[in-house]
Amino acid sequence: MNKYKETVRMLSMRNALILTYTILGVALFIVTCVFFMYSNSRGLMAQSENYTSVAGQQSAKHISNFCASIERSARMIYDDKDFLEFYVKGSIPTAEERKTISDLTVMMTKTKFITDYADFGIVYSSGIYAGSVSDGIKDLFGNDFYGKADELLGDKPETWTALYSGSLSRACFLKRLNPYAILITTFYSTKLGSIISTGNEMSRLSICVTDSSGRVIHASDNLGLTAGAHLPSDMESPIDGRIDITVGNSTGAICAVAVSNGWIVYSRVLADKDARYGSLSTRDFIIFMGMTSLLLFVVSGIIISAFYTSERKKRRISETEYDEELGVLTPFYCEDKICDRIETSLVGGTWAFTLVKIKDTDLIRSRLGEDFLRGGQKQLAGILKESFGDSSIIGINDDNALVVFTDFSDYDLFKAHDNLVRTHNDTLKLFSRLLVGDNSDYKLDVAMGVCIYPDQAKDYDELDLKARQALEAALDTENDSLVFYDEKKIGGGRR
Amino acid sequence: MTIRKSVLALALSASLLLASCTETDAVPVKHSVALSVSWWGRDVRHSYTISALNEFSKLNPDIELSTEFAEFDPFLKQMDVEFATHHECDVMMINYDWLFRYSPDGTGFYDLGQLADEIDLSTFTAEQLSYGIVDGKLNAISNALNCETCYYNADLYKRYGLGLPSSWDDLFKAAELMRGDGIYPIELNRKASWMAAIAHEEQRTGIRCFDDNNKLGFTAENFANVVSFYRDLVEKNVTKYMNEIGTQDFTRGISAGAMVWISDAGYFCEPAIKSGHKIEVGDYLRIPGSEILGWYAKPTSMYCIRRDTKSPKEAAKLVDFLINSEEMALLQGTEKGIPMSKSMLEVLESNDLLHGIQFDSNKKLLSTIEIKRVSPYLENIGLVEAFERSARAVLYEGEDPESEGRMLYDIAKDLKLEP
Repeated sequence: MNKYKETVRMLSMRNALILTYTILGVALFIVTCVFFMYSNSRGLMAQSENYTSVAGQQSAKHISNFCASIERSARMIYDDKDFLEFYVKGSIPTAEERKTISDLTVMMTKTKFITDYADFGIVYSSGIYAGSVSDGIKDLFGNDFYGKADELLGDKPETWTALYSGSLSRACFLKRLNPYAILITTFYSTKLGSIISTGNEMSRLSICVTDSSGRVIHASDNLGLTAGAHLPSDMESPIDGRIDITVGNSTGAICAVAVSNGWIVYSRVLADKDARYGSLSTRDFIIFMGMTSLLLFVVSGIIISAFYTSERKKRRISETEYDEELGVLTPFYCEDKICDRIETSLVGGTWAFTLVKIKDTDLIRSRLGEDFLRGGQKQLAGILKESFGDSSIIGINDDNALVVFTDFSDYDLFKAHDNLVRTHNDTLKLFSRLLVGDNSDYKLDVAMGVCIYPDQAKDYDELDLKARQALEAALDTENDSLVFYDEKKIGGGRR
Repeated sequence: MTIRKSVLALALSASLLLASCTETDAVPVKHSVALSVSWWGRDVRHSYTISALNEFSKLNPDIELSTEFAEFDPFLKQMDVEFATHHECDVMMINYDWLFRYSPDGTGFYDLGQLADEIDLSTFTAEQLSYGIVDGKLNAISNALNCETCYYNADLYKRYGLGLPSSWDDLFKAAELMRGDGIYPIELNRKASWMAAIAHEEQRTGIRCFDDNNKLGFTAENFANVVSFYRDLVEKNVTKYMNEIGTQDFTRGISAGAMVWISDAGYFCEPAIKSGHKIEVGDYLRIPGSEILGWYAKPTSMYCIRRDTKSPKEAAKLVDFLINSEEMALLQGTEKGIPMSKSMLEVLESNDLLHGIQFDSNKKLLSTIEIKRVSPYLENIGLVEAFERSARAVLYEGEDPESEGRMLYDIAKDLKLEP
């Protein structure tokens, strides 16, 4: 029954340890994961911001370059002084004026095809046009084309604007050629789509070009914005009127970059919810966690089981604490208690580790039997208890030697040593009572080997080794004998 | 198992976990099928076509579209350049005469007959498909029929006590009455001026400029009469000179009428109708008692595919979408005229969209049996531009119609069905 209780206790301890280590392992894993996820999230955010910023800057640069090429096309008018100074004076052109208009139209039309403009022409204050001026742009400017163009230019020599028609928009460049003539160049803003393509698979990147008032000139398809619409608040709010800035938040990163002609390019990369958590979806994360916990549980169980089923430790389960016949501690518990005592001993103390063994045990066992020997050991254990007292730890080791660990601590070290030696010598004398046999007519000789802790050894194993050496020396002598470990005489030293 | 082995197993497990965390992730870059598509028209057409293409892209995410579009004249010049440099789009909307201009032997465009699995041709009659056949190959599929048609501001005519004109003389008479108020009875843009002057000469002489076999019937004298007649129209205030017509003259009441394609009727008439004018479809102008009508219809907005496109099936899918789909039908409505496609007609009918000025003019076209299919030569842009130059020369540069007529004749007789 006692053995059963011990076993249950041990198994319970083992399970508790498995559980504890598993919880600790999982906790460590979670902390590590959270750390890595946080780090990863920060890294991804930094990457997104960088990516968004680069996309915005590149787009703005492309648009600036494209617009600059359109501005340069005006130079061809400047190349001919007659064209530059020409204007139609009346509402009906003269024959000579028609000729000039025709020449201008031919030249400008050719240029228009090279660069794919929607319009490339000149409007005169008289309301006459030269070059290629579409009906669409005439509709947008209305009856007073020149007046509207003049109003848009104001005092500036040239300007960019955007014109909206339904879901279409035109980018429009106006440049004053002379006091009565304005060059007008337009292109459909859909052309910007090929300049700032976001790629059809990269749905998380969106790019939007607006005029200075925030109206959309062109937006990538994944934004679902039509030309002329106002920039949505989820893009406008984070930027809050600032320019040349990248802002990151939980929804992603957004960047606003100024274009040289006064427009603004907004680029946005929406956060990937999965990517923010280390490329793991919630479901994957739970599975990963579960598998890892299971693995830790199994591995911990195996390790703990292996630990408790080792040759050394399994005796904790199989042995009882006391040898019921001898009334002393069994080998495992004896060692265990002595080790505990050593660990809790105060500095400056003095202990004796004593091995006591009946001499010629093999001969006695073979001639007189095991019971005879056990009877002698029982008497010997009683003598030792009597001599060393209850405060001593008394047990038996695997070699059938009795083990005694006794505290002789005293403030006076010499006194402690004297007491130790005297007690052992007194005990040796008591062995004369060790008489066995039916008529107590057979005297058993006993050998004692003593090692002093901590003077001669620092731990259990060293104590055991040196005490064994002393015991061996004692066994080699006649009658009852006592040998204190002496390094000079016995040698050995630390193991 | 020893503790050492157990620890080893744990370390191995941890290593595997860490290894799984550092696994490289290779994602292939997807390349879409790139298709370019081009068309001409006004902003309203650009706007709905772009919307329709967005719908197509949603339905076909593996196809990436790029677009080219412009108004008619610049688009034509652009096409010339693109064909010359072999940079045309995969899918193109072309005008009727361009079919013969760019594919005189039927090899200039892809044979759509080979793509019948992708394009539902059953929604067109054999006659409708024949408009796009060149040398036995189905080069293009037409969206609708088009014809230069007269639209009048009935209120304005009524103000002068006039009925809607049905003859040229009616126009000249109206011009006399309206001149004092700076109003023109009709406005004729470049193409309308050309077609009107040709119609007048054909009606007057009973000779067709080009017959059904594209043989030239006019002489230099006929062409001189064409130019003279146009000069009369301008000088007698029937119309403004073609290049001086404002886009909103009809809406503003400066012009009491406009001769435009059925497909342009919405652009010209809707603003006037919204402004409160009563706009009505007029008769095809003719000399009373003339033997022939002199007016022609043409298939319009013809879709074709680049002859050596890298993605014929995808291009065909797009063409089918443009001529047959519900999405396109609803967005396009009758902007290009009344669609020929049976499936598009069903969509418009079920959505109660078959009405309005374009529907009325289409009905007039279909009910006028004397109207013939136009010769691609008559549509030839070179000839039309030459007429424009001649008209300017005669009107403003003191040239005589006879010499201009000879010049036009020389151009017309040298026309060939090739670029």
